[in-house]
Amino acid sequence: MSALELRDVVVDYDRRGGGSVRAVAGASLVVERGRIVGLVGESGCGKSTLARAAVGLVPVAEGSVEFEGTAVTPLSRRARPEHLVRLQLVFQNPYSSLNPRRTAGSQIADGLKGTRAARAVRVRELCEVVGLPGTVTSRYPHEFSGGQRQRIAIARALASSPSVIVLDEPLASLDASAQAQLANLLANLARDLEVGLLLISHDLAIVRHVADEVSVMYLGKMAETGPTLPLWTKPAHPYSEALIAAVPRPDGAGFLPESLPGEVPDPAHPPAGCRFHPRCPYVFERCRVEEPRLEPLPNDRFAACWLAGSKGLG
Amino acid sequence: MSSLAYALRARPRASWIPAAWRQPLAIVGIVIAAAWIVIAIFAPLIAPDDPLAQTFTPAAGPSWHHLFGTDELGRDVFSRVISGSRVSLPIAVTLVALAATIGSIVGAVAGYFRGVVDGILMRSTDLVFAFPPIILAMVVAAVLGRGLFNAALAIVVVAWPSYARVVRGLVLSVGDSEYVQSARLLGASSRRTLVRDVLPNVAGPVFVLATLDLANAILLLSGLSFLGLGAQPPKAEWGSMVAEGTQYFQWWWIGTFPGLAIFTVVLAFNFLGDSLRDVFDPRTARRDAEVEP
Repeated sequence: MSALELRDVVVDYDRRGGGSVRAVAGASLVVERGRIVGLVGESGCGKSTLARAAVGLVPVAEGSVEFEGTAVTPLSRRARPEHLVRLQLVFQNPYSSLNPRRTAGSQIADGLKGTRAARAVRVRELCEVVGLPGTVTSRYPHEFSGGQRQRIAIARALASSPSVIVLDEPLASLDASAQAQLANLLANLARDLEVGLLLISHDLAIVRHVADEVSVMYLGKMAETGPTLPLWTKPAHPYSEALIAAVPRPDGAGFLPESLPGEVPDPAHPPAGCRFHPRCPYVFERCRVEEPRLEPLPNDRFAACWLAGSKGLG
Repeated sequence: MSSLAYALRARPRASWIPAAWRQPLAIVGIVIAAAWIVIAIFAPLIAPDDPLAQTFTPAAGPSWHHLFGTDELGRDVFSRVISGSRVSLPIAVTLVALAATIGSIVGAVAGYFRGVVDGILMRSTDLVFAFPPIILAMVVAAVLGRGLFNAALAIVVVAWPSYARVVRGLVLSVGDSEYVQSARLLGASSRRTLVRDVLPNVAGPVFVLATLDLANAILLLSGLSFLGLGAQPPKAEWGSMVAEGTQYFQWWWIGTFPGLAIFTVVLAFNFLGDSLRDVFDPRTARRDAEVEP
């Protein structure tokens, strides 16, 4: 039994004035305890929607989301079922995910139970886990830097002793040194606390640095999934290839990143056939009419491309 | 920058006072409002004469004996203006508190339950907003009958919807905020987040609105009294005093001094409300933090 399992998840958003947009069009994902799964893709490909659907903030139109064997139900007015509290989400922007009028300590204690004294002790422990001094508890969010706030947000999520934390672009609003520190913190959390992390990011360098597996998402669907290193060195899908080529290399070789032409199409009107074909450099007739499914490749890899099998991976 | 503000800025020990309070307009607002509150509390001690007592010198111009002169019946205008503060200020505070309470409850209910409840409650605020406040207040006051109490009630009727709107909007936006969502994911019920996260973030703006509304309430109350729908003679109420003054333009002091009283009080509460808004606005608070070393 996997800790978090998303199967063929479809999420529709109603559009103002009728109609709907299929933000996630059948995506599957598995997160095991203690593993870090990276989810990458361009802005607007449905990563954040998938994250929200994974924890129940957005209702799922089709498919299923299961956490430790039970279905993840969408949030209602009532308190979340107790077993689901061990599935947490950390938002992208630590400036909006903390209440400006409550102290850091009080917000970290949100997920704790027990006596006041016991909670205070645990709050200080959690601060230590995320690398903050225990004295921060009586201070308000505006007194902290972005990186510190994100640590508080993570400490808050850890208070529920989670088995899976979904992190929606947790590093995007931080500066480079804070990103590196936080990335290392996440890696340690997964190893030491046996927490499964679904790390959503468009920063591929950091995903490669910390993730055990990577899923590449394009326009609401998975283009490719697999263990990080093989995927990185030999991407099976042209989209993964393009994304990886677009990462700047600080090796002094003077390599300029290759940019991927075009933009993500409107999810309300996805292209016929393969979703990536209008931007694909290897496009041929079949891609325009028939959509490739996510097919298994050697070494636990999957790719949705007609050419993936002929690349000699494995 | 005025030298007054500069002098206050330069004093390091004043740094515990928010910068918004050290603006010249805020200081003017605080001083005038405080002065009027003190006057209202100690009116019988300050006023030299009984506001209703008539002397044998009607319509006498301002002099050392009658600072603001006497009106057409020989009553001391200065004493009447002073005791008028005991009418306008307490009524304004009470009715604003009432309007804010009713409006906030309606707004919180609409924002919390959303859907049909929200629709019904907000359409009823639209109904009130459709009329100019003074016209609606006049209609309500006329229906209820003349008198200060009914005038105050009429103002509550026109004043509550703005609170409902503000509170509803805040409950909706804060309710959808990421920090409420994280609290919900951590197992807090919707009602618990309403109390712990949403309402504390609503209180500040409501307080600001109420302070600004205090000025409106005094203006409306005076307006209704001016039109004869509020305080009835011989009560010393600013609006009705101005109304009396309009009948005797050659004796300018009868209407001018109560008018100045209304003007200063309304101005003071407007300044006060503006500075309060700056105090509660996190953006100005941040600017403050940058200014102060």
